[in-house]
Amino acid sequence: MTFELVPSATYSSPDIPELIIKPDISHGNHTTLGKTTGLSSHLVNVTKDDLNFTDKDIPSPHNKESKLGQLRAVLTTLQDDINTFLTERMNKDSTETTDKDRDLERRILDEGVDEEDKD
Amino acid sequence: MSFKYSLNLQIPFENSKQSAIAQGSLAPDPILKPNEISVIYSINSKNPNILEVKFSGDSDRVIRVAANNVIENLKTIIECMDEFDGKKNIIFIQE
Repeated sequence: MTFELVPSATYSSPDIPELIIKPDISHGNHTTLGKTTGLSSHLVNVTKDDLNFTDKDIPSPHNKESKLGQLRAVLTTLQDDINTFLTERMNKDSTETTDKDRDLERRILDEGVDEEDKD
Repeated sequence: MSFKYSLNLQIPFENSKQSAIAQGSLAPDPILKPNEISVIYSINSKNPNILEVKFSGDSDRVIRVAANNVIENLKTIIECMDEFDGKKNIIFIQE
């Protein structure tokens, strides 16, 4: 399967000057069912025993015969790639913040350093 | 206002009419927190078939929320084009 319309994204931040995010089109496993979109894990848990529950917001399958249909599927893959990448960075940021807070707490408790009196 | 984080989307369409329709459909959507993020829609100057969306924000979090939302809307626009564009006009008559 060949994809003629391939979307891409370019990310930049203070620590990453330029990063090009491009979906892998070497395989044809692109669908409109994104890994990072759809039902939240909370809703999946709450409804897992409800046999009458159906997800009414589930996206329609893409048209495999048209270029726009394929674009919609590949764009879903790019959306997943962007969401995963940015979520990892957000988690890393929050871990670093927590480490920083923990270090400050340790310094105040163990070394008696008062940040406000430092100057 | 200058932001430290940015994400540029490049979305190729079959022709310049489609990219312009997508731009015109997305652009009216208001930015909820303009002090935290800006979103600029444009057509690539070298290739008018490509729609470009530039997100600039003060954190990865706001970029993620805005980009995910715009891509969701974009997918709906693409689906509409795929379903209706190029089809013959049909007049439905109520019986």
